[in-house]
Amino acid sequence: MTRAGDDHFGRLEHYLRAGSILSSVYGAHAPTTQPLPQKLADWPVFAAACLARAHYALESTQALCERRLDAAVLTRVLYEHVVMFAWVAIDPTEHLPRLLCSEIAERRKAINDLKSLGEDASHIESVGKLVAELDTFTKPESPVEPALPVPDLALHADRYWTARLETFDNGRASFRGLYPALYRNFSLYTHPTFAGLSDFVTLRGDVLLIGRPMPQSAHAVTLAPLLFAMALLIAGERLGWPPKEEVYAAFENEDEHE
Amino acid sequence: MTDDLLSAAEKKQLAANGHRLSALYGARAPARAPSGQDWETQALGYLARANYTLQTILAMPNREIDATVLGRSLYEHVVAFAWLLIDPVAHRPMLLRWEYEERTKMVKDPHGFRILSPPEDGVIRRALIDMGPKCAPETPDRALAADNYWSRCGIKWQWHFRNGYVGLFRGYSVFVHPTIAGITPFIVRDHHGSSVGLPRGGQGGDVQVEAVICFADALAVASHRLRWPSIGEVLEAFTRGLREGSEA
Repeated sequence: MTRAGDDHFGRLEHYLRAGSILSSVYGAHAPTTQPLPQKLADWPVFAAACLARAHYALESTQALCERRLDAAVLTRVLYEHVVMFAWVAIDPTEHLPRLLCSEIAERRKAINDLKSLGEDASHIESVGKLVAELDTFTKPESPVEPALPVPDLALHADRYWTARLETFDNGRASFRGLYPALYRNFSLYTHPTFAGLSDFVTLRGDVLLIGRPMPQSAHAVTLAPLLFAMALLIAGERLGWPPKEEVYAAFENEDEHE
Repeated sequence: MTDDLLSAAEKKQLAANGHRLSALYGARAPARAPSGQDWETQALGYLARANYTLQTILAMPNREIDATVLGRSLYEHVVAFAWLLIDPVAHRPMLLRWEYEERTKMVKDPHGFRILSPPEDGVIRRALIDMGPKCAPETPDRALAADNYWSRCGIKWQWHFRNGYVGLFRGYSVFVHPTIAGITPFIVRDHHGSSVGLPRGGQGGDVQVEAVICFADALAVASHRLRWPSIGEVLEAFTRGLREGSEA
């Protein structure tokens, strides 16, 4: 998305304001109820819940604007949810069963892992429910393929939505473009890496001081509203809410205050 | 891993004790590595990050789902710390090799850097200059090794590295990635249909308690290998206000 693109990175207060406005837009338009009959794997329910999760992560990153290493971990979670939402929204009938298929595989892996540790695999029942939901989508002769890895989801989402949303592009602020800078880079803070620890080590003279983290870039906090805006624009296109103008206005307000 | 025998009041107390453990860390942690050894700087770095994330988790009691994500990260840092200190001189080069492998994977990933320029291999090698030829194991194996080693080191302490893998690491992965299970808490179903919005309470288990237990394990390791704080101080902060035998 170029409208509020990469020239704006680092202007924390503006993006906090944009995030707050987007949060209000979401709250004003998101339907809070879905009628029966429904399953979690029904597209409207999934879409609403996935957006609710993304919104929750946005709120957390805003609240953690002064604890930016942990905000980065949560911005990564937000990214993954928005990319998944964008990919499923391309073709929910085909893609939602593929997400279920991937999840079943992951859960089975987890169960085997826990069994190898001698743990009670009480998660088996929940996997059974997922398999039953998947069965409602598929026929035995047409097995479902799992979902793609995150970068491929991002690529497919970019290709599809760039053609439909004029502010999406294939550059650095696209889903794929954000993958190295956001998903890969913030993994250094998620996992115990030397690179991630280096933020807690300061060279003063010839002495290494360890403890409080150095002042962090606000990158993670400023990216979160952009990601959520992308999700809302896709929701506007696919679900009919919110109006795109309200999403854009979150960033236009920022410019008016300059 | 939270002990189900703990009452709600005790869980609240244990979460409060997290602040005491954090204060204990703040009072005792040296600002520089006393030995001047790189492994000690790295160990202190892990602890600093673990303390930072513990404070974040304790400051967000009403955002359990995202606290679980951070709890998982805290756990990974504590396990790396505990594994490093089993044999610091041997394990530090292995951890650096592990990171080199991860970063090389990142650079070689055809999806990773199409727009940005990846760092050159020489730059990564220089950053990880002490890495050895052998790679550290992954987190679950580090956790098992840490449990095995530290439970035999003579400290009167109940370790939770392995249990933490089941709860904090595996259990909460559904909230990290976009999964059906992970978004389920955002839906409340009744006979009218589904309500979607804020997550139901209690979905994050007792992540604050689990995070406190995890950090207490880290300080218990520090008490043995780094000689600060004393195990008595850790125990006192960890069990304050809890009935005898109920802690974790």
